[in-house]
Amino acid sequence: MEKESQLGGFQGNVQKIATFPYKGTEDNDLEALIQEVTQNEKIKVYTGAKVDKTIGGPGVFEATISQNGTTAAHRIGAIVLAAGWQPYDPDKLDEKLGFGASPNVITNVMFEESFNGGKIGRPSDGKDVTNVAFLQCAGQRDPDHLPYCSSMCCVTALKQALQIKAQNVDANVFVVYKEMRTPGQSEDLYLKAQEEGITFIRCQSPEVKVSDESLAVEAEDELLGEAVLMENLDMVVLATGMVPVTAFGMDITQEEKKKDEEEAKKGEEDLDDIPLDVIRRSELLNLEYRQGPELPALRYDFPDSHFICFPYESRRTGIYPAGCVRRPMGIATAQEDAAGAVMKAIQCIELTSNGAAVHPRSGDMTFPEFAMQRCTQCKRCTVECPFGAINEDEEANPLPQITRCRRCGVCMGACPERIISFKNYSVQMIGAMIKAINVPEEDEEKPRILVLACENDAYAALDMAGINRMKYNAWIRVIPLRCLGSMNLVWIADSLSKGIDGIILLGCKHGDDYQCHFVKGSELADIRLSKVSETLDRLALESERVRFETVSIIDYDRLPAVLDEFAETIDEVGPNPFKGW
Amino acid sequence: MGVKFDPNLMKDLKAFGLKDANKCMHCGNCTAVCPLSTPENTFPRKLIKYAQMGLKDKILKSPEPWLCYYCGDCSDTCPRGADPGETMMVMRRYLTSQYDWTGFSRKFYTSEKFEIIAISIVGIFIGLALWIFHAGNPNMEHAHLNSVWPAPAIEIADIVMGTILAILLLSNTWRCVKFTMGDLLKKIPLEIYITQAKELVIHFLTQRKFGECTDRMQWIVHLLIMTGYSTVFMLVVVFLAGGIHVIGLSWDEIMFQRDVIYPFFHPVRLLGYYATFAILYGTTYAMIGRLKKSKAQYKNSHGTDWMFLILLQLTTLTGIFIHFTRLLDWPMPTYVLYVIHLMVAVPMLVLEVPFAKWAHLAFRPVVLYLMAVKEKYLQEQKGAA
Amino acid sequence: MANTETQSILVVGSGMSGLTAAIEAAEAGYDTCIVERNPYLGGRVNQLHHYFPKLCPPYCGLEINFRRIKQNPKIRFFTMAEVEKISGEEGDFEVTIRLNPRYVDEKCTCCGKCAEACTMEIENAFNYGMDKVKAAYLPHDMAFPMRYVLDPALVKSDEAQKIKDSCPYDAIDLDMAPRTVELKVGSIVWATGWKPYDANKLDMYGFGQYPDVITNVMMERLASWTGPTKGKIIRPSDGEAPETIAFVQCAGSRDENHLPFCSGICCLASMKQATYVREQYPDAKIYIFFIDIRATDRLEDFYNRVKEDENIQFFKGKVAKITQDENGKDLVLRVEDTTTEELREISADLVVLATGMQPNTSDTPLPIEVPYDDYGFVASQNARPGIYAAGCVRTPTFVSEVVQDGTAAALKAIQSVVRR
Repeated sequence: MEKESQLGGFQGNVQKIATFPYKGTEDNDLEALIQEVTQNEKIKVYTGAKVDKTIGGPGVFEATISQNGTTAAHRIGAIVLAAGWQPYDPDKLDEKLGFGASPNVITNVMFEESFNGGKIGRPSDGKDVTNVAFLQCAGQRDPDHLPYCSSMCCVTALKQALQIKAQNVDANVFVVYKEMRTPGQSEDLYLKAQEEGITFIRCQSPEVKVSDESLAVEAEDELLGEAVLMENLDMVVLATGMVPVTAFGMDITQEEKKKDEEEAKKGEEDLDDIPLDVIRRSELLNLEYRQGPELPALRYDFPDSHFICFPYESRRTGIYPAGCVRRPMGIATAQEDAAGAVMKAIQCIELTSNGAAVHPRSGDMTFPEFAMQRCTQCKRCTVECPFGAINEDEEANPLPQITRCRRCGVCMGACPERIISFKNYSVQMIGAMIKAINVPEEDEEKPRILVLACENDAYAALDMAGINRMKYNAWIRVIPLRCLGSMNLVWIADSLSKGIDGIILLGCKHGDDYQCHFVKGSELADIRLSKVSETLDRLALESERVRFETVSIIDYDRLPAVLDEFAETIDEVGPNPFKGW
Repeated sequence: MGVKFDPNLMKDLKAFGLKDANKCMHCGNCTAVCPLSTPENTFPRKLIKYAQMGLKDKILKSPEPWLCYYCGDCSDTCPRGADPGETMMVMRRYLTSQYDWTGFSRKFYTSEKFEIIAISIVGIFIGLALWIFHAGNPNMEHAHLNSVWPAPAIEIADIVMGTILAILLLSNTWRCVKFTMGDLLKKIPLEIYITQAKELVIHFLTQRKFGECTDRMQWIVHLLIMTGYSTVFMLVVVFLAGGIHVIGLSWDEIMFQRDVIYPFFHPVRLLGYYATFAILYGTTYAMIGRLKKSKAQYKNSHGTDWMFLILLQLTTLTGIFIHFTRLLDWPMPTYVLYVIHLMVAVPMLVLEVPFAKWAHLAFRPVVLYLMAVKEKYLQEQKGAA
Repeated sequence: MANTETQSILVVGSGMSGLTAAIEAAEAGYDTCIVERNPYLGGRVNQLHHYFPKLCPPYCGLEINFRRIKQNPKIRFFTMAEVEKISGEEGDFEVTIRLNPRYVDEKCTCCGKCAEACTMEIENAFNYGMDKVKAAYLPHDMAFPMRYVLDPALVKSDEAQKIKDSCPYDAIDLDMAPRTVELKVGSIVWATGWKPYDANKLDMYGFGQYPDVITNVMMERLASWTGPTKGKIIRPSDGEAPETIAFVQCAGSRDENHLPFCSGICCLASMKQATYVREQYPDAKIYIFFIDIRATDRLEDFYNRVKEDENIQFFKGKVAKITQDENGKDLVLRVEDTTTEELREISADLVVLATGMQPNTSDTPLPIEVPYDDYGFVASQNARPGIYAAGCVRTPTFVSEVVQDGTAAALKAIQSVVRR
């Protein structure tokens, strides 16, 4: 599915490419790739098309694709979102970069679009270019524009500069850069450009000077300690960055806020405390998901995975972003990325068709079951599901789409009516485990402490503390949870009413650098726990009895101390008055 | 204010032998690895930047090329293969040509053809002059040079040549001083120039700074060539007539190039032997180095580098041959060799000393001396403040 | 379609790229087999304290991956194994694997009795030789498979029998010998990864001569609780807390005399390590000497975060040499500040060399012909029909991109066996 009339995307404009082994420029072989696609009978191509609507979930997606006024519906197993990027709007650039002041100030993107016929000429009159300056990081690495680095502009500038040199060996070509970023073997391209006589100037804030007929750049050269003036330029090329297409459109959290404000007036229950994902109406997938029509994005609107070890662990099951929509990258990486995303898509179809979950609970055959007759339509589960797996009907009844589910149990933890359970994991099950804990009598002076630990990190850390023969307080009993997000407050209430003296939750780090593989599990547990103080007050219990502690898998060195200290606190607080009731 | 980029300088410097300076990415390794680079005078990276940006004026004012003895550490450790040492060498060639007001030096450096033709013309001119102007009846029985070319004539020619050389070299050196010191030249009181004069002598004679380089072998070789050459220079220019006979300043005992053959332990003869050995050893070492490209400083050889070594070695070799033919008392070979000897030696002196590589024997110690002067001055300024 | 035997995929190397390739292929329903040279899976990331930019522990992702392996019957693995020979062609490779003896079998429960009984100590390779470990050892805390190893020297020693007898589970087999196994596979993913560039070759930096000059990989071990100092960053020479720490970027990288390419990760690794230092020593002064800071894409945020720290100075200039000052305590770094043309001599009491990544294929190539680039990287992911290179044998890069590459290689390996 391609929105343009031809396949190939931006690369269709590109004449020369720079890729492995980065020894120089090479011809773009996009045509061959396009042919391979169009000739493959297993690939159905829609160009000039749009996805009107995507419903369902992995294995049972149904996408409505419109093309030339007709629509077609397709059954789809999984989706690769490779919708790419848009160049940063050069009109927004600082005035000192001169865009708009002269037709001869263009962007790196315009360079490709204008000169893909072959000859590189002065934009104003097509004359040969002999003096050209490339200004890097135009509106990039700049908090007022794009704060990030688009990764590929240095290599692109080197390539374009080499193209000019190939056309006219005597041309004076300048690259004004802030940091030259040519990682890996692409360092060779930098060297090649130097060998070809391209001049490099390190400057954090160059200025383009446009007067009637002449174009000049003044740059404070950091490595010279003086400003350098480059005069009589035929062309200035600004390296603008990549904006993911997911960055366009209204952010639904803003819509939600508005709606919430209205609802708050009506006095409905407040769900404000649940952190919402940034999802923009960028009209790419148009998912019929309760939580928004597109993939939730990370910072700067990239719908990337948040996990270093799992770059395809996207926030919507069965939908894998690839290429520059995920993060800025060059063609070599983009091709790898596409292959990786397809791998995940195939795998998702394979697992889903067997009824199994995908990563990180890959192979899990259970799924949440809803005892709908007891549902109060509180929306907790539909709002809190980190993967948008639960839709809602008009009456706010949850409509779980099982194949989207990652089996984390956040819904189970969220549900105040305890109507959600898995075949092998339920509120009752953990409740029974808590009930089975032996609670010593008050006169035994042995408090009992319950640890609810995330099985991915905290529990593994406790395990490693054990392997290292570390000792911690013997009052402790541990119950591992799929994710702290599945922690239901009823367990806290049950534990306390049973006489357990203290409860400590061990979960993953949350916040910007969250480590929870179910995104918000530990954060939600923390939020829920913060509300427990009311309950404690009602029961006339001390709030120190419950605690949330962030633990990573390598924290086993400090874990015994944390637990011991908690035990001490509990000892000081004294026995739970509900003991023996 | 800033500076203007000039694309022509790099192209120009290529003719002076610049090759890899483009590749410099300004990591600063060369300046930090250089044992002679100081906080006051950092190099070579700065000069590479000047070259890349075409900042001719800044190069002209830079003393740094003369502070570099080309030990090669920077080139050996350059992560980019940008050969900073060679760039400094090119700078010295370029500066030599810039100091030279006649424009001859520039031609000499930038055109190998010109270089060869110029040497040849001077050589042939000398040959012809010796052919035409010789005494009527040379002694064919014994090898007596003075019988063919009488001493006074040679002395006069020597003085004329010496004067021209001195005028050219000194005028170029003066330009070197002016460019390097700029406004400071006149600001610094004469007294400091005088008190620091010893620096000039020390740097000239010992090349002390070179000794601070990691590779000391280069210092030794350089010192051998320099002292050997200077010795011969003294012998020829000063001792030729035991002083300058024509103007009545002479001392017979130390006359050089007379038909008398001194005993082995005579100082003139010993000095001659030292000079011969020193030059021969030094030039052979350098030539083998350049052929094998054994060290960083030998990797890139400009036409003038070869010309310099070849002329020097030829002069020395013909000198040795003459020494033997005289000892053997073979008249004809002695005379022929003497002509050849002068056909090589004179062009070397006339062209290399004011216009080419030999000029650095003046520029380098002078600049080092000026730097000492400047340092002293700045110290005093600071003290006064 | 060919028979099932040749539908299986061999993955050589179990670092992040290999591990990923194997698991992803297996979870898509293909039989995979991992061959790993070390006694444990996971590769180099096991030895890292944190990942940038999240500063999260590598063990977290590894633990998940190991769990995926444990749960998946389609994955087999050999540790202490090396591929000796590959013959045949796409869809029908014959692979000879050499298995080196571990001397401990699956009965091991990691009770540690053998280590208690053992007096022989060997250099701890996991900590880059910064400490010693018993010759009967668990390679590291989260080693997978969780099983002890006996060093061959121990097995040959007089202690051997005593060690064997110390095992309450009879898990030690002193007679284990190297053996080879033959495998038939359809396609191969080559992911043997990288090694840190040998800092001994950087003679200008005095590595090996001055104990307080260490490398970035050693710094990871120093910062790790499982490292030689229990996570305390101290000067190896005297165990004291460093006051000034210098990170020397491009130590051998972007350098024609060493590794001409950029390893792409060292800038961020050093910044990350600066945060380790900062966490332990709020007043320590930190220098990062760089040529270009290469914080691509959103990693720029991390760079900005580190830059905000007033005690971290980014210094533009490549360190040319390191010497020791007269008192023999401080190290002196000679460097030009290229932005001011100042020649500086900066003292530091701990120096971390940001050495680059050298592909293991540069000295241990594949036992079958594939193209390499100038630096010994496999020149293309499609190394030859049926053989795919993944991760840092192809290009030096950071973990998420390596995983991406491993996932892509899994697809190609699957396509290769399915095509037949």
